[in-house]
Amino acid sequence: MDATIEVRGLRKQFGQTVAVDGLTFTVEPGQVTGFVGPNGAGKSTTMRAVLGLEAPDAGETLIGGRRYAELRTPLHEVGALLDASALHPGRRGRDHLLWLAHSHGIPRRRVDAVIEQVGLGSAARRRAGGYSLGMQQRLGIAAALLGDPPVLMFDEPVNGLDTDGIRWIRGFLRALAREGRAVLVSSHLMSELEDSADHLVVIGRGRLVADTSVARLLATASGDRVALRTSARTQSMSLLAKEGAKVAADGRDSLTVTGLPAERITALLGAAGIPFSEVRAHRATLEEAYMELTRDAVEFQAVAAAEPDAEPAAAPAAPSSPAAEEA
Amino acid sequence: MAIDMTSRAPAYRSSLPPGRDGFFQLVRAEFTKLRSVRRWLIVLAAAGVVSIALSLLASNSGPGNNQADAALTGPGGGAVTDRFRYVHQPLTGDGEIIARVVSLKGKGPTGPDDGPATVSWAKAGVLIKDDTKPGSPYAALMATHGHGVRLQWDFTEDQAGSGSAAAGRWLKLVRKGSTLTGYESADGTSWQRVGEAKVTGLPRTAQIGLFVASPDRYSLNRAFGTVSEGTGPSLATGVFDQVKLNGSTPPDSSWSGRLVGQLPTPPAPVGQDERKEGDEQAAEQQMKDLEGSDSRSGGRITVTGSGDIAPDTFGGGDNLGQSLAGSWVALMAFAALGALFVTSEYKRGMIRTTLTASPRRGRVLLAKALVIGGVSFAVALPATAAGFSWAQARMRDSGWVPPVYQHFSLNEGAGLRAVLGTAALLALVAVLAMAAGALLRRSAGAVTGVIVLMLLPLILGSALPLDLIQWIFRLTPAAAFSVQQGTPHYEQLERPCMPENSCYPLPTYGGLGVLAAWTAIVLALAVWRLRRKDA
Amino acid sequence: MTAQAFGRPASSVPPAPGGGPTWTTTAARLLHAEWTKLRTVPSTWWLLGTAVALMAAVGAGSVSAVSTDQCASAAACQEDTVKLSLTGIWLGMAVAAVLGALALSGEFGTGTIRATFTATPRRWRVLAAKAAVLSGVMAAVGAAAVSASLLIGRLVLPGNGFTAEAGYPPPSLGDGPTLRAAAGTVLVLVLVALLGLGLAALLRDTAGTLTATLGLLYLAPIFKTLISDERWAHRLERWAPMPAGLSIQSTRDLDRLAIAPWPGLGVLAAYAAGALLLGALALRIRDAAD
Repeated sequence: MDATIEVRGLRKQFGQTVAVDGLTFTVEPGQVTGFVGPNGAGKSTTMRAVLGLEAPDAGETLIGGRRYAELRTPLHEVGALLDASALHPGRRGRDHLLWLAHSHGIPRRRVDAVIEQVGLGSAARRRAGGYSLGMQQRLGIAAALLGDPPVLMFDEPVNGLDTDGIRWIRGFLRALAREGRAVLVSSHLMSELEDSADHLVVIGRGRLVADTSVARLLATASGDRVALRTSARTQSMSLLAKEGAKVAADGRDSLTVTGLPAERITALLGAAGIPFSEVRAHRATLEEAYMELTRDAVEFQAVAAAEPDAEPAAAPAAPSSPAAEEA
Repeated sequence: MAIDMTSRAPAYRSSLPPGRDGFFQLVRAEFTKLRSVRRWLIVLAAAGVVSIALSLLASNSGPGNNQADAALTGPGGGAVTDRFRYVHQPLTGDGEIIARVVSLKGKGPTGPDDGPATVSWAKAGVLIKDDTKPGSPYAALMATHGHGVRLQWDFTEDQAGSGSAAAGRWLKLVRKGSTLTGYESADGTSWQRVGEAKVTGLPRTAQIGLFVASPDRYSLNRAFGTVSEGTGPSLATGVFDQVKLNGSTPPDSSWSGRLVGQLPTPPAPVGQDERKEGDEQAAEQQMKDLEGSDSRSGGRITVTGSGDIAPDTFGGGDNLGQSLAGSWVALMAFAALGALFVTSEYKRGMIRTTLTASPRRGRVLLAKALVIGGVSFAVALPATAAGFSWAQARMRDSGWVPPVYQHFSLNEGAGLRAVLGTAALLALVAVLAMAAGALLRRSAGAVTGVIVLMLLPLILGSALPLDLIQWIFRLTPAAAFSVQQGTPHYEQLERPCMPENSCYPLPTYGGLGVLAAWTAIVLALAVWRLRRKDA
Repeated sequence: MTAQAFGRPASSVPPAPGGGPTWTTTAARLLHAEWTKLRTVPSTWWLLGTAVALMAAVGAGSVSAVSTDQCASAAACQEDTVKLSLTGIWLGMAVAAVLGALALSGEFGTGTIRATFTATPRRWRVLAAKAAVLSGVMAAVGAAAVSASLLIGRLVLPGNGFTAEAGYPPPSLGDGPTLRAAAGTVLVLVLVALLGLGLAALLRDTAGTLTATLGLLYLAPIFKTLISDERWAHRLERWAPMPAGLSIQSTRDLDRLAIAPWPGLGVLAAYAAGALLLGALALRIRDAAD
């Protein structure tokens, strides 16, 4: 069986509200896939549909090629953390894992193993009612790992974690992916996925905005923008605009130029004798890339449609790819 | 650094042994859920303890009117009424008696309210009895005023023949050893078999003859919270002809008439109704009449008599319910626990975890039902048995003793059935509440609904008209309280089956079946709702 | 946005004269807040609708099932027709208990209670405001249910032989005892809702509160049938909340009651007051949420 999550043409409507509208993507094994979108974009609905908790109005969701309802030992196929606070406050953390284990005939020592793995330690012997948000998250992750499944789904796992916890979970997610598991992590903040996700599925208002690798997205988002620092702002602006670039003033002596590669700008300014102190290809953060995506969602979709699926490595490198410019 | 997307990483292979998805695993998971919440365990323990304590409390006092010493007992050991006018002679060995009932009519003295109308269980017929001592074994074939032909024996047994009117009915009672067979006929030639009675302890020579009895008039006044039952004496006259006795009788034997049994002294009204107090002088005047009379002219024998040959349920009452009273409180605890077992999962969203672990939702609910039902039964059974035994022992000490009251034991019969049935009732209530909780997804509705359906009929028992309350006890889950009925309802008595007297319209297991049906239906609806859509 | 607004943060709530809000305005705001909470939960409305419908239905069932034919004579029936028409109270009180309990246990269940207590740190005031709003709502709904029940009794009873000639005048609010029974029944509903509210403050959990409330209401009348000791049966009728509280419904044979109508209602009121008092104490002592 392939350790994948496939979402095909998923549509889900709650009354008049369309939560998910024709969503299609695949989560591949061996990498962390970030599932990003603003609050209410349909992330949780999609994840619940994958777990068979929501009946799709159209389309289907598959885990390793099978519908969730067909799974006989689902905890061994997919582990999920949806809502970490979904615990009975009077039940000990360990007992929560124990009943889940019993439902699949998983031995007790596995329960203790996952408790150690997530660093819950002695807190597992306490009642869940007294857990902090961080402990709840760790218990939820332990529950997801219980069946040692090849597919993992975490809904906003970073929520409520402190800095140490966030660092821990990022490393943890990467480690899980390195073992060959498919890991889907949702977040409404792109920055949270900065150092952990390899691939991104971005949705907005229930529709797919982007399905791309992080590297490719950053490259696209960085675009052909060049940061220019010059004391002769007005002169540079008119010169470059004449050459067909879009120029925006950022501050007293800095400009952002779009539409011309850095070498060409250097050449033009040099030829015109305009002084400049820095010409640097702009390198977008994931957050900026995301902002750009959500701003031009429609345009991007058109691009994504033209270059379907995750791009092969041989795709023509963007002229302003960070690697190229920094060289 | 870009990830190489062309070559997929090898899919993860777990080192864990393959999982099992049997129903047993599901049941075990649900059991772990139940036992791992301390508060629920406390509720279970409290339900057991409170159940025992309240059974003891309800059995605290002695019986209101102790007539144990005065009570007459029948061959079965229970309290009986045995008073009638008997025209008899001895019969040795096998034989038969034939007679035609010419008429059966009521006769003064009258009851407090009515004229000399015939009471519906006024009876005239043929009877064979050990001797003329009250309470001895007998078998009788009779025509009644309102209930057709009946074969009755040993006080508690009653078999219905045809519904024909008394007048003109032919009756034949045949003795063969200890087997008595009754026949009836419209013309004295073509006989229909009414039934067969096995009467043990009937000697070779027994008394055989004609009898007439007319049970006390019964009046019932059910107002809010109080039930007033009044009784007053009645008389009836039966006329027989075509009397024929076949068998071996002593040479010079002939019919002799007498009153069997003792007249009540004085005939005081039973029940709490003060207003029914009779005029004592008039009552004494009636006593003579009540002894009855008999006369023979030609082939006709006229017999006037009062009284009845039947079980006596007025002196005592059902003393089983008190020892099971704790189950009413336990019921509330089990209902709350059953509802919480599932609604707490909805409240916290844990139901999603449950359904993710077990996508086959119907099985989840069935496992839950099995666990909550099983655990409830396991707690309810010892608690009910302990409360019952303890309460019954205390009640015996304080005067609830045979023959007026029944002796109930955990080892046999009604006692064992009631304890097992009550534990089953409590387990079913827990499952019903769980199913209602799964259907409504709110504990308030589920808990209130189940408690109201189970307990309100008991409260409204005496407040609502009898017909209505009997239907309520047939249709609502409260029908299951029929398992707590200790004394059978005798159809051959005028007294109606009143839930407030622990008499329920459905048979023991029939009532439990109604509760089980409710549970099954609500569970099916809950499964339907759970499977139908989103969680 | 005006330039002023930049200068200092403007409150949309006008400041109360004299520095702080007066006691009356605080109370009015609190009542308004609790009324809004009660009104905006959909279950409130269908619960109230259910209460009226169930009470009227049980009353209708009861009055249509009796007939003077069952008695020796019409007068011998001794039926308290007003009380019979109001039999639905037994179901109505269950709904009142649910409403009272949910008003508070619902907030504990969802955690709204934290916001409530943050807004009003003096917790007994919250309880008092809830009690006031509940009382008002229950009184209005109870009045509707009682009127409907009596009207049904008026229409149905004469057809079953309970005529004025036979000594059963049709239930009318112009009649003193009938008015007492009607008003008392409304008060019983109010008091039961308050009992549920008080126990919810004490127990917090919905299921636990309802089990306790219904147990308090229903168990005594059931046990009464079992207790053969007349003394104890009498005590139970006098001091248990339900038989005592419902003596207010009696319109005839008052001398046969274990406790007179108004003192009986007083017993029920004492239970409700006790539960509220203990509840207020528990709210003060215990943490807002555990």
